[in-house]
Amino acid sequence: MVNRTIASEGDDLMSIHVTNLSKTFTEDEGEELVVLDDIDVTVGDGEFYTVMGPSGCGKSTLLNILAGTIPMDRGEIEYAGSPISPTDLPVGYVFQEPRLLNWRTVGENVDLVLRERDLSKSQREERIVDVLEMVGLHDERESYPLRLSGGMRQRVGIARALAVDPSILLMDEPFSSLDELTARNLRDDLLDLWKSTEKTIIFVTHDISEAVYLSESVTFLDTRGRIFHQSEIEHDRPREPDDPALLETEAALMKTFFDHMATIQSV
Amino acid sequence: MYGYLGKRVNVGYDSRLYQPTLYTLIAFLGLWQLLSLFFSPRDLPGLVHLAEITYSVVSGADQFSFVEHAWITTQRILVSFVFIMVIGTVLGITMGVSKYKEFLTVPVMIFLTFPAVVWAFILVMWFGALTTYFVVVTVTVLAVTPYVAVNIWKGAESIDDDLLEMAHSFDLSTTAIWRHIFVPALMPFLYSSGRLAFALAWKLSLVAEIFGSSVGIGFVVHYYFGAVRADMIIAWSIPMMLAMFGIERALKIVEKRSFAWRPEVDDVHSEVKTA
Repeated sequence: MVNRTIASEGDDLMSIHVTNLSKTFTEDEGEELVVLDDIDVTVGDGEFYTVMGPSGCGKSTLLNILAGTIPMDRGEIEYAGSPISPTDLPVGYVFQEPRLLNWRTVGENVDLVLRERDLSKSQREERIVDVLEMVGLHDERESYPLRLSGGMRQRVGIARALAVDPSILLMDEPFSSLDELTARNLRDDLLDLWKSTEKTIIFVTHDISEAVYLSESVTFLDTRGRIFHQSEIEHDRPREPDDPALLETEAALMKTFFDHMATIQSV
Repeated sequence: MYGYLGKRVNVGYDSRLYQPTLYTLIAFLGLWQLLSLFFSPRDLPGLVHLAEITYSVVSGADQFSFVEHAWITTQRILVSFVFIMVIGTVLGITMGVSKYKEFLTVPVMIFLTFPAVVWAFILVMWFGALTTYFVVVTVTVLAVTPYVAVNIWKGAESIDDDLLEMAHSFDLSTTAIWRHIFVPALMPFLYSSGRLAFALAWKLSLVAEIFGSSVGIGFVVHYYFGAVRADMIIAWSIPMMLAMFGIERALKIVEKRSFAWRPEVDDVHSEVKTA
């Protein structure tokens, strides 16, 4: 089943290299909060790359920087072999909450992100039909988001991100507010999408079993904003969520995580 | 939607409200009729007498022309309404999103506490009671605008930062953000402010007319106050009350229509679908 190569060497054509990335927020009281401290990240073309970490570490900040919504303080980003400003990275963003316009239909929500691009009406139409088909919501095009279940709304969010045809899909804990059954369905559908579209996915989660189940590579961030561990997940696909081998990997990673947290807290 | 017997009924418009409303109305009119038996018709007219004098007012049989006075009052309400909505909306959005909000919030709150009667007296003293629009419209606008501003302000503050972040991550233009996020997010607040402004504008225009005008329904009411004719005051108020109630309901229906996306508004298809 595994016919994808794990892109760890970083010499793929469309890979992303982030080097020396730092970000500090100044809080209201004037206190400085380092959320990303000299991060180096390499994501290969088509890789499923997961960033794990406790709440409050810089996971989401990393995604927001890559999405171009917040500026970085320091660092370089290289894409497809040349330096690039994060605002120019070809990304689609799936958020923790669906973040849909509740006053627009499912179809209009997808169309919204297409209008700004140089596309003809028929091209836009084709995209909308395509992406709704991909996430299994072609029948709900005229529905308003508040009439859909949480899982369906999250699917609309995924469709919207796919609509801009990004090479890179940024996903910020997209399934964390769903019930486990719905989340499992969506995870499997996401893996199918990943396989069929060959997109690079940068996925953020605090759920270790989700990370192990989905990813090719898991990177751990700590509360100081540093990467302290990186692991390739080499289990064959399709994986079973409750497979003992996966659980073993999860346990080992959790141990690494807690050992590390203990050392930084004792300092 | 369920009828009062618990049977499921598919009707577009609030049918379950009709019957309870009807009962209340009948009870109210019955009580009125009963009380009127203990008073002189000049103080509290019976229903039949009230209907007669109201008809005589509307048909022009009264010493004051209903059409003339009602028309001028309506114009004042409409002109005030436009000013209130425009100024209130601009103030409210500025208070909600702009960097000048610190300068505006406290003054608006102070204006909110200022009694309309005080405005009326001051403006009549300054400008006299003979202006057709100026005094009445100004009093109404000064008294009502702060309510609208506060309402819109809350709306502007409630705009979801997460949606704006989403818009930025997908590179939406400022025009698109206004058109698809700001304006629709403010729509519920604009509608509720509009209905509030209308209801308040009609009441305050009348107050202003009593003190500051020699024409309009408020002026006629003031005249009959001097003549100790409570029945005529009621008869002159009823047609405008009904008109304002009708306008308020009409606005409400337009509002419902434009919010099809909110499940609680349209009960017929509101069952949430499962994934």
